[in-house]
Amino acid sequence: MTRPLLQVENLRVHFPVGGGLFSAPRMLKAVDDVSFKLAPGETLGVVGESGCGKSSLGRAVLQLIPPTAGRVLWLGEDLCRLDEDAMNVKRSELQLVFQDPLASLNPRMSVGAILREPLYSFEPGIARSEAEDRAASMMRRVGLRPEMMNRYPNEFSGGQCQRISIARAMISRPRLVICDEPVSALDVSIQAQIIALLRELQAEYEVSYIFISHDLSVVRHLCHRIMVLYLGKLMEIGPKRDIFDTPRHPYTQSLLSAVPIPDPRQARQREQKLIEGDLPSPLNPPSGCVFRTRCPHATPLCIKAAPVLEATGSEAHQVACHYWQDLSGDKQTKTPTGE
Amino acid sequence: MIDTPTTRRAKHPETGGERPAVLECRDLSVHFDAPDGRISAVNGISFDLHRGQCLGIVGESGSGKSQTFLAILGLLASNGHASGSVKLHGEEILNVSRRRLDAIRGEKLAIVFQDSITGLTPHKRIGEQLAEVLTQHRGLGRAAARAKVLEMLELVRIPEAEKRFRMYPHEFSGGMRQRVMVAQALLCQPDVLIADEPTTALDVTVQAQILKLFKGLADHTNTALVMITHDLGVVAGLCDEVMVMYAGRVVEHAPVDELFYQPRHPYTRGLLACMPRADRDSEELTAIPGQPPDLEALPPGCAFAPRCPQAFARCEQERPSLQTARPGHLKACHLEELP
Repeated sequence: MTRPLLQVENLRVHFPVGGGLFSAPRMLKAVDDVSFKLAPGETLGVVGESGCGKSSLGRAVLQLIPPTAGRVLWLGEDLCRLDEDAMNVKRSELQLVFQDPLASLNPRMSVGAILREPLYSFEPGIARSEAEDRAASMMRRVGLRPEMMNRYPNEFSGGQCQRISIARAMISRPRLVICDEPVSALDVSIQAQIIALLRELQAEYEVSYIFISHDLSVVRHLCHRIMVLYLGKLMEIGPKRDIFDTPRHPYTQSLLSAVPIPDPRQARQREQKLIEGDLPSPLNPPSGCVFRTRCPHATPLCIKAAPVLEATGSEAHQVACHYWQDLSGDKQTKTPTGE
Repeated sequence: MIDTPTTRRAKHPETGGERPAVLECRDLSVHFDAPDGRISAVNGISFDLHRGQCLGIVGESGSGKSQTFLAILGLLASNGHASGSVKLHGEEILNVSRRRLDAIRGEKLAIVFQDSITGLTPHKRIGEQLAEVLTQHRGLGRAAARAKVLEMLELVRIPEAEKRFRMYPHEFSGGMRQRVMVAQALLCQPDVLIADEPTTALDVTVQAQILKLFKGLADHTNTALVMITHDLGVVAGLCDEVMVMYAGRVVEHAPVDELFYQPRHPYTRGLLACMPRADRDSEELTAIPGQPPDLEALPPGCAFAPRCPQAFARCEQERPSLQTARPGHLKACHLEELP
């Protein structure tokens, strides 16, 4: 890997929940000891069910919520140690695109003003005419007519609003854009347009993406590497091909098995390895391996000890499961090792 | 009888006579009175639904897929008007009295909505709400109703049904609430169950559980299922037949395999080509250009023509009618039409 653009080390985001006069608040561990690297021009997919901490992770990287512990190294510099002013300067390089395109645009600002605003804040002293030109060319770049710049967000469709959000994120020429479910609220035919746009922009600007999504089909199409989270913990991380072709963690395997496939014959033939039950409360996560309550292969060891992330065949593909070696391939034994 | 795929499929294997449909919908249209005029949301929908059959309704926002079935259930907004004919076991149910509808709904026709939190009364225990359905519709005593509810909760795999019986909706997770909704809809063993995007708000693992539940229903009971969704993946694994809707009209109606492997309408082909897949690397996605149409400003010809890569002059002037492309397969498109 070339020098990482972003290196996240042992990141934790814990929220105090409840608590009153006589009781201490409980800790919700939204992100618990997550580490990863991101190379320039790379797309890292972050997948997992709701409540797995994927959005908190994105926001903590951007320092929009303060990490409880750990380091977020941006080109070697720890963002957690920057004061607010210094961080605001950095924000031109780290941007965010949200899920709900209309809600994330200020309804009282024209689209032109929305696009010019980042320029005024990141390049103070920029001439109005230059800001206007750049906004217009960005409009064109994301597939909208610059004449529409005087209109307001509510005059645009969902797909167009998402184009505007992307234009706003891209206009300051960031090196990292965190996309939090950017296509989930869009119609199927529009999703493909936005995915294509994100890919074109990446090729053109060499921007890196952290692509947070619950939709594994979209993630497969767009990402180079994938990270699987469960209850705030990193379960598995690796190159796309490894995650989809040889998933090692039972959770990853069941996630992939649950995705509907738009192909009737294959849908009929496939054997799904579905997990039972629902996500445990994140306020009271299971001991040991957090996935053990839903894991078909769990043993007493899984109750006692939390597995650590270890490399599988390749250094890039890592998994946190005591039994990944036994579960690989076709044999589904659960012989306990060690202990 | 009109020539729909259902009527063809429904021929009795021995006598060759036609089995009567549970639900017969003919030329159903829905319009809404809006301040600036009348908006046509659904136009001339016809289909038959048979026992044990699963019909998928696929479309983007504004396609009329939900309004069609809200009209059938008599649940349109107050400014909505339905015309045409909908027969349940031969009895006309469109625009009948509220009282008659109340008797039909729940007992013969049931619906499961996307949003499970608004579908349940927040201040009543789950058990009470469900038992009420039986005491009111079926005149069961309390003990008998309770036993039946517990049986149904176990059928939809609610763990610890006895304990859950006494809990309130907010104490359930989203997936479990959705299962409670399914249980509620099934209590009176309806002849037709309409599911309107029942898994859209759920995580994939839970979605897979709910879809498995629906699949089991179709196999084990005689309930006919209508699955309204935007996700072709959901349809592929569950339905026997699919109706694709666009701008308030059916554009294609076919058995599920034919729709996926020999789609006849450019819109269906477009939808299939723009979906990324989790089970294999997809080639470049071909997005459908443009956006779903504005129902207030529909073009005079084919509503899909502005986005259709194969549109020609006739498409812009003349609306194609739904015609038989091959036995059991209907499409509304001028392409490949016999002179």
